[in-house]
Amino acid sequence: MLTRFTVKGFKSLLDTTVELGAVNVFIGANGSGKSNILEALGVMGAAAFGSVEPETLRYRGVRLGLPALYKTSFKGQEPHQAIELDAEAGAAVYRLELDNPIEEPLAKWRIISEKLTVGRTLPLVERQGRGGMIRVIQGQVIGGLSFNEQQSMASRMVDLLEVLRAQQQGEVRQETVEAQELLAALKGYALFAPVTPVLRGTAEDVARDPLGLGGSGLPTAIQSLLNEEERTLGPFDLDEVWEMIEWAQDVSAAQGSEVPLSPAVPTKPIILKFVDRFMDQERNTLSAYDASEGALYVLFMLALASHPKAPRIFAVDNFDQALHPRLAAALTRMVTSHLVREGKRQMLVTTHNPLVLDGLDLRDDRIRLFAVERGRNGATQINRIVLSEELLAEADKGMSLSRLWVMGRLGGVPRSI
Amino acid sequence: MLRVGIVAEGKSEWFVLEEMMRAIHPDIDFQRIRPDISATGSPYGWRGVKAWCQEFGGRLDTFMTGVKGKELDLLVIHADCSMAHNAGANRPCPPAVDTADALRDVVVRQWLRLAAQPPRVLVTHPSRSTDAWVVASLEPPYRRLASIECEDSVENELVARHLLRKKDGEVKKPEGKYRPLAEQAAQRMSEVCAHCTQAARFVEEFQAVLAVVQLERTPEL
Repeated sequence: MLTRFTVKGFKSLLDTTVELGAVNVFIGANGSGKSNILEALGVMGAAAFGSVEPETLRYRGVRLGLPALYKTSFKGQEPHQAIELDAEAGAAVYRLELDNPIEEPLAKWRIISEKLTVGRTLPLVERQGRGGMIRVIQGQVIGGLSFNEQQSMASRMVDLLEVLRAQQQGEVRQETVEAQELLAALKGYALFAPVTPVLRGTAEDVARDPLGLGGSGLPTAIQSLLNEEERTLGPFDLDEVWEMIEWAQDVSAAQGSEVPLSPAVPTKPIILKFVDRFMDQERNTLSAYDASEGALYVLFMLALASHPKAPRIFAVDNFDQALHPRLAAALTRMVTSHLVREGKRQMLVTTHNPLVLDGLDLRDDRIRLFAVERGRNGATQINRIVLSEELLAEADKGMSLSRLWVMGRLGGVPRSI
Repeated sequence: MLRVGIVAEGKSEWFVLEEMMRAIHPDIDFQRIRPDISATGSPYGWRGVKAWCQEFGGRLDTFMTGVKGKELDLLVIHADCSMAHNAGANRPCPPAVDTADALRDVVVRQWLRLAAQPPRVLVTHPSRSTDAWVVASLEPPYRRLASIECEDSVENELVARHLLRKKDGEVKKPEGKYRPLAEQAAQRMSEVCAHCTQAARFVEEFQAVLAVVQLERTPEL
C-alpha cells in the first residue's frame, strides 16, 4: 500500500505530497491539477518498469508530452531541471530523479538518481553516478549491476531483493518484502479513463490485461468474475449490482453473432450481452452497443476493483462520468467498502460529482478525500479534507459532504463562479 | 495565513470585501460561501443571505471549525442597507450608521437567531450599497461624495464613466472589470473610509479580529 507520494517539478506540481489511504478521492476545479498527480504516479510506474519513454507512459495512461510540458514552469521562474518522485509504502521508500533536455529532447528520460531504502538503515539499493554501475548496499556492498542512464534499476531490483530476502529473517525480511511489493505495485499501476465507445466495443484502446485503459476487455473480465450459481460478480452480490442497474437482470459475455446487432456496427468479436427485465422475453437481449452506458461504467469499476489480475494500485479519471449522481454515490459505497474490506488494493479517483462524496465514510481513516487547488502562483496544492465528528454528524441535517463541497467550504471549487 | 469565509449578496461584493481585507493582510485564503450557483431560489441578493443565516446560524461554530486544517478564522456576512426596509430596519440616512445598526441587529437576532454577534463573525452593511466604496475611490472625485453612503443606484456613476456597462437595465459587473475597481478602492482605503463610515467600520472591525487571531497564534515566550 502506497502511504505517501511526493512530486516535485512535474507539470503544475511544484512540490506536492499526499498521504494516501486505500481509497483516495480527488476533487477540484477543472485544470486544478487532479490528473497531474495521477499521471506523476504513472511516470514513476514507467520507471519502476524499466524506462520512462512514450511506450511505457502510454501503457500507464500518462498523456505524452515534451519535457517543456512535463517540467514545472511558472512565470518568472526557470523551469525545473529535474522531476523528483518519491513513493513510500510502510518502511520502503523509492526515490527517483528524472531529466530530459527541453532543447532536443531524448526519447527516453535520463535517470539522474535512484534509491530504494527500507527502515532506517542505509539505502538498500542506490544508483551511483549518471549511469554506469549501481550497487546493492545494506551496510556493505553485496553485488552490482550495470545500467545505462536511461534505464532504471527498479526493474531488476526485484530479483536482487529476492536474493536478499532469502538471506534475511524477521523484521528485516518483512521490510524487504515491503520494498518488493512497492516496486511491483508501482510497475503495475495505471491511470484508467473509461470511454463509452470502447466500452461499447466500437473503438480501439490501450489494451491491458484484464482491462484496457478505456475499458476494453470488459466482456472477458466480467465473464471471469461471474458466478451464476452463487449469484456473485467477484466479491459483489449480483442482486445488489442489479439494484443499481435497475433495467437489467443478467449480463454475460457473448459472441457478436449471438446478440441483436446491426451488421453495420463494427464491434469486437466478444461483447457484453444484457438481459432487460422489462422487455418481452423474445426480444429482451441487448448488446453493450445498445445498453445504457451507466451499466457499462458500473461494471467497469466493479471489475477493476475486484479482478484478481487488476493492478494493485490503480487510478480512474472521472470515474463517475455518465452516471446518475445517486448511482455514482451507490457505486462509490460499493467499491469503497470492498476495497477497505479486502485490504489488498489501492484506488485513486477524480470526480466532479458532489454525490460521490456522500458515498464516502470519512470516519474510516482508510478512505480519504483531497481538495486540489491552484495557489496564487499557479502551483497545485493538495489538501486532505478531515472533518470533525460534529460536522460529520450534521450530514443528515443539511450539511452533507456534497453540499459543503458545492458551497465552497471544502475547497476544490472554481474560484470565480 | 488567514482563512476567511464570505456570505455576500453578490459576486461584486466578494471582490470589494476581499480586496479591502487583502490590503490590510495580504495572506488570506478566501472561501466564497454565498452566493451559490442555483438558478432557482435566491442565489443572489439579501434573500439568499437571509436563507443561509437562518439555516446555519445555530451551528456556525461547527460550520467554521469542522473542516480540519481549513478552519475559518473569520466569517464575513454581508447585506446592503438598500434592503433594510424589507427587514423593518430602514432609518433616516444620513447618518448611515442608524440603518446599519438596525440591520445588523436584525441579521444577528432574527436571521442568525443569536443573542450577540459572535467574535469571529463580522456582519457588514455598506450603506446603501458596496458600490459606494468603489465610487468613493474614483478620480476625479464623485460630485456628491458627502452623501454617497445614502444614495441609491450609485453604481450608475461607474456606467457614466464608462467603467462598467448597462445591459437590459442592469449594470454588469464582470470580474475582469470590477476587480480592478475593487483593487483601486482598497488602495485608496483612507479616502474611501473618510467618506463611507461603514467602510471605516468594516476596516476597524476586521483589524480587531486580525489582532486577536495574530495574538492567539503568537507562541508563548
